[in-house]
Amino acid sequence: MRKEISRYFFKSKVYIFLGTAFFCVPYGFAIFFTSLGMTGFSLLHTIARYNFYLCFCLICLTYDYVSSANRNYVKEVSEAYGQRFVYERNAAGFIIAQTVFWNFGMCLLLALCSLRNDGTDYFLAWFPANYACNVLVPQLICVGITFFVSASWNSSRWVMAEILFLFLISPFAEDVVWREKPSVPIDAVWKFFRRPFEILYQNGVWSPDVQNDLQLEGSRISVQIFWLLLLICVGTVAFEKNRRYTVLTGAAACLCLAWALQPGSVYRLNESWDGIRKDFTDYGIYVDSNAYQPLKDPAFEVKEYDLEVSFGRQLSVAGSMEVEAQEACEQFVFTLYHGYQVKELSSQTEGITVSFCQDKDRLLVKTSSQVKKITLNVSYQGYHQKFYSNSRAVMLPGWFPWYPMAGERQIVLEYPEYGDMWGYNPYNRIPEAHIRILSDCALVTNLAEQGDKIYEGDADSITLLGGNLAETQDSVVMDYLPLELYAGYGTEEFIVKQRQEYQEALRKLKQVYGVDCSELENKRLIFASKDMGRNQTNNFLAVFDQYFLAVPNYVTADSLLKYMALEDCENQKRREGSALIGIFLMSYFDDEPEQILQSWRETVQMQLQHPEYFDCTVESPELFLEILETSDSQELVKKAVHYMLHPEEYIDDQEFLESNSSAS
Amino acid sequence: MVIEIKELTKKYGRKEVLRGISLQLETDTYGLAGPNGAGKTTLLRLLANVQKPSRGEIFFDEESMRSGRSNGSACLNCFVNRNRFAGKTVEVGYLPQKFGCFPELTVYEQMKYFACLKGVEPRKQNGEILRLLEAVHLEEKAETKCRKLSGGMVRRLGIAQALFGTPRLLLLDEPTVGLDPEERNHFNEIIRRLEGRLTIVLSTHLIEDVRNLCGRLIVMDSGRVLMAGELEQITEAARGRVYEVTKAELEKLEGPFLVRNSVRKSGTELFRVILLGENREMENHRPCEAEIEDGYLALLKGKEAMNEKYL
Repeated sequence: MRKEISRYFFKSKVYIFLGTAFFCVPYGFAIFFTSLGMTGFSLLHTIARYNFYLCFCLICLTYDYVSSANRNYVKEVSEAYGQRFVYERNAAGFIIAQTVFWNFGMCLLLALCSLRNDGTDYFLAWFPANYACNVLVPQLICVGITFFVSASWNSSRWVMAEILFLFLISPFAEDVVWREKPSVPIDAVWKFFRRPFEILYQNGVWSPDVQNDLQLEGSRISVQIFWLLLLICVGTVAFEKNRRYTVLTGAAACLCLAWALQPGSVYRLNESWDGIRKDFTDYGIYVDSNAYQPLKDPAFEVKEYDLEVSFGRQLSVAGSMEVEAQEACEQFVFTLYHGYQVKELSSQTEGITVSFCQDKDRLLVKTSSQVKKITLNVSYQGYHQKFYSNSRAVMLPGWFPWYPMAGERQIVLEYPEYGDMWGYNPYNRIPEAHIRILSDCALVTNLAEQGDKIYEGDADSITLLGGNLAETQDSVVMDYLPLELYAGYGTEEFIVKQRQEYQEALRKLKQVYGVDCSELENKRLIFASKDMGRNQTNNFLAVFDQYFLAVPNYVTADSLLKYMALEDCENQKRREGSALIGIFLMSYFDDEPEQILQSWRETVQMQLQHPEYFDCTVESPELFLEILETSDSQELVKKAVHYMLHPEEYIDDQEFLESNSSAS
Repeated sequence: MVIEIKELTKKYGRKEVLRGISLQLETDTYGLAGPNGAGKTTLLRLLANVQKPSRGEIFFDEESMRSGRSNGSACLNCFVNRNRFAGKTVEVGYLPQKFGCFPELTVYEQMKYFACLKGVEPRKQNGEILRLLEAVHLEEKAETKCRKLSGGMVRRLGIAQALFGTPRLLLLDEPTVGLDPEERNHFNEIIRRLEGRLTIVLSTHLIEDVRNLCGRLIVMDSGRVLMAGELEQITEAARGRVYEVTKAELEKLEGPFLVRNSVRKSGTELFRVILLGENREMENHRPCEAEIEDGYLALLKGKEAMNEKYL
């Protein structure tokens, strides 16, 4: 029987064409990209992105092949002879065997690609789960669903449901997002409705977050388990198995779906107002100015944090904080991102009771009487759309208030100097405190590891990173992202390069730009994925008292100079009013001074030709051009950087120009 | 083999297509006739276990098809699953109304597929296939792809697959549709050769087929059996009610009647009418010899007038 059914497959030109395309096209691209030097992870990501089209091909093939007996009026005879679904079962079995064979071949190709092109031997650590969840399981779900659709007597009626299913799992449905908050919560309904259909890798238009890998969060896996259980449940009905199995699998499927619908930390780079843009909607960045404001010194400090963190669907924190005020008071204001809900806050100090109120990011704690020192027990839970914290990966930068920071802080900022763009505020610090973190998974932090998943130390911040990161034994470079490395650029090369770039940045700052960088020396480098800063003005680099938190290749003179310029909020207004500083900030400070001067020259000439393109133009462009022509490039760049960092030393641009003109 | 159908009802949603049918079928050839929508195909599909009844049961030699429950003695497993029961194989041959084959397979391969479905032993398959292809005159088409077969040839292939093994029940749903007269004659020959060896139920619109092949006829309408019996009994329903009348006489005719056809005799057009209703006869006319078609039509059209004695 099986032989006859498979013979039918091989005799049909359509099936042969679709089957061949299913094998040849992806294999061909895999081989091509491998030969180009693509890493195993990037190749898997590419396959995962295009898996919808593979699933589409499989669905067409399965539907046509499995429903063939029904469409050709052979099914009824088979039913009459007591061979229920015999053709359909065998045909689906053949397709599944073909799918498994395809996947086996693709796994081999990926393994070869990884062996050839990867910079580390990290393959086995990331590959099996990522492959199964993003390629194999979605394909099997599609084949399974199509099997039941095409095996039913009313297959043509059910095919409409299948087309709807296909649309809902497709990237086209994924792109249905609301950039602005709609007046009627239609987006919430859509999101709720679509969640069970998120079986494929989401948001295929972006490159993946190498730290987070390919979306293996619990909620996504439970969606896939839901479909698998649902298929078993339908199978028990179709094949008239024991009703108990139907009830059991149906109930388990419902539980999985309910679990999948619970809120949790998932990182999806879509343009939804409550997705990656949530903070910018919440903070009204498009409505009001949210420029940097200097922090008003709080009258108290947190001297000690002792926190237990766990990463499940979202971040859960429980622990204590030792608070010390300069003078006795009864109100303590903290900043905690509003995505984290405080569940409990109490006092450990005898005789003192506390009450609290969480209003957006402001956490107000009131004590029963004035105290100078108090120990607070706190527990909270939640998540942030961008700075993920789940069982797969953790990205909690030290400057982000995922832990209560003393005083009222800004979380999101507008950076006018960068052309009215926005980003997270990377300048939030806490006064040095003793910090102890107990985690339920291995982390990379700025604290020293004191035991199994226990991290402790004195620091001005708490940075927690997890996921596809690996620690090094190097004294400067603390960690690396193995999925970013490629053949010829392995761990050693990465460490050497980052160290060199760090040293080179400091050298340039000192020698080329004349900047005092004593505070930047002798720090360790902690690297996080590019998604720490992607889509933002800055956030690719932050300097803490003991370490740099940076994206690989961003520890450069250019990044550091801009970071320093923006950090100096006192002079922000002066910079905004200066056309020259505007030009300087747009420079790329890793270029040679002559090249930098050339870029300024071009900008000024452009301002002269098209002043309408600029909000603010240089008052004396001729003088500036003359200075550019006559000055020593290195000296001029040095002075420009000094002006950029210390605008308070000049009255205005004119004074700067005159002080640098040849006449003076 | 005795097939007993008890109170068989089939509903599609709210629509009742079979309404409590009770019948007993023995080793004979049964014609199943009735207008479109009478429930013939549904009855055959239920007998073939392609569908399940909404109510009622079918017993094969006193064994329940639906539950495997014995009508009298032991409790048994499902009858129809692979048509096995109590260690013996009760084979059903079934030709559905819409029969087709995989277009890319050859006739031989398609027959092999059916042989596998039917559970014919692999070593016997080749011989059986050739025998049956010969029986339906398709032996020369054995290597032809099914998509190249004409409608009639596909029908013959359907008949051939229904005859695989030694079926004890042969269900044929409109088997002669699409067959040319020669093919139909040949089909009649095949069925005649099987007569007396198995129970054949042949659903058809053509009373001619019934007359040629069947010993008994089941007349159905609107999901009910109007009458089941030997052909003579069916004919009896119209006996004494069939007349040949002229056009003028026809125009004067009162009460319910049915014009079956018209013939030209000695230059005069005569209409063959069947009088419907109770105790009807025409004065000054001698009734004609009733035929099976008359009986069938009298049953169908005059079911209300003909009272329940035939039901």
